[in-house]
Amino acid sequence: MEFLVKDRSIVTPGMAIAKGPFRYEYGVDKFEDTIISSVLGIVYIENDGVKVVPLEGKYMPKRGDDVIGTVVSINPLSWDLDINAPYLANLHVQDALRYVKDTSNLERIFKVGDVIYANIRDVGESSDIVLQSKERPYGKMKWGRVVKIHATRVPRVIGKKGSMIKLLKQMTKCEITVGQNGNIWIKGERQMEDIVERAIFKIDKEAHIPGLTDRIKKMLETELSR
Amino acid sequence: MEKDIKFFTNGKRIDGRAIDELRNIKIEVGVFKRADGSSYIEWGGNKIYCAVYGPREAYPRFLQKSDRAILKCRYNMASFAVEERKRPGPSRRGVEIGKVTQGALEPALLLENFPKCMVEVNIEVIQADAGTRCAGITAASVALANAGIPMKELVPACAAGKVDDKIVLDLCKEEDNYGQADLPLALLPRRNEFSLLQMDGDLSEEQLEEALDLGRKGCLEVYEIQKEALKKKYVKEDVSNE
Repeated sequence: MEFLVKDRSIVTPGMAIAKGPFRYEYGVDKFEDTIISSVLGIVYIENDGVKVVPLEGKYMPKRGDDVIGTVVSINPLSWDLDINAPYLANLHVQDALRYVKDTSNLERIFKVGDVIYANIRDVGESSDIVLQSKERPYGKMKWGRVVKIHATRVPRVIGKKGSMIKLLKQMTKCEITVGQNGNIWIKGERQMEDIVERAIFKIDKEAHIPGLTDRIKKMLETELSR
Repeated sequence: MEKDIKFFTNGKRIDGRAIDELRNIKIEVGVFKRADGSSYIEWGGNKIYCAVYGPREAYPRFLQKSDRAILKCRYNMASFAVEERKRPGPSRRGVEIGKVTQGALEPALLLENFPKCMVEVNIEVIQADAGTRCAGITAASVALANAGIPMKELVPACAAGKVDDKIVLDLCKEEDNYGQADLPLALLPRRNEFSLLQMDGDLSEEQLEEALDLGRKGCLEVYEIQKEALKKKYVKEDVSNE
């Protein structure tokens, strides 16, 4: 067992990370006895495992993830949602409503363009995504706005034990819901929404540089004192 | 054909390079905002933009593969890219280069992670100066990495050729037009396999071996430049914030 790169360094696809029997999670590929990176990302080395967290790329749906999507089309008994994944996600009427409603016209429930907070119930063999939005807090997001960022940067928006999101919420008094797919819904006063939006774009741009929470705090302080 | 062109003076080539020397290569990453991944390459006089979209749902539907994504490559040359005006739009040559680019890149990508999807690669040649297909593949590979598409490794490409009965690396315009052979190569560095091998002109068996070795060396040099370009994008941002 031997490491060829430092922990938390940037690797490019095809770069050798380690030699020997390792448990590897994702972002890596094996060639002969060498573990090589398969994406452009940052290496994380743990006791016996390696993984590469990608810096770029689309959201890949996983079961149990909470996502925010927009309705793009209406089928006889379901809606198709765009959740920034390579595939459209499907939300069936049965999985969408908390109580019985007239389902003869689905457009009366969710229109095209509506923003919906949902949970991924299953990702099928051929990558079809099944959503559910039956229980709270899932459902239609009224008012507010949606900010789109890279799905790979979502952990930075949340921060360690939710520190970043807590900071944003406390300082701007906005309601913020983060989807694992990189869609973030904000509701609050209009100026505050603007500030949160700018802060989130800053996080998206500087996600890989350490000391992010402090910088965001400083930014919020200057913006709020204006 | 011009006959009295002098390819070598004092062991140097027309543009002052040594036999095994590449032209200057500069790669920029992430130049387009709307594309999922993009790159810009300057390789000698070549100026090429590359944009990657995907993985996204494959259209037309009948092209979808249920177990993997498909790769679509498009190569286009601007009408002002060459000396005489090129008729705009798809051409026989453009379609062929798109096809070989796809063949060169596909073995390096992990497309089986995205069933029913497609990945689109668009290569736009703004200025051409010999060796655009190699420069295009090099740029496309970087753009694919920038788009976050999982791959086995980057694909560097480079040409070798024969001029005045001598094997040279990375032909320039005159050498390409009036030389004896042109051999564009794309390499999978870790596997040490070629994913693109075309030949224009004629080479003997020994000369081909020699050209392949020289081309491989050139590709590995290009590979280092590709890696540097990808890393630089993130490191540069680091500095600007401190």
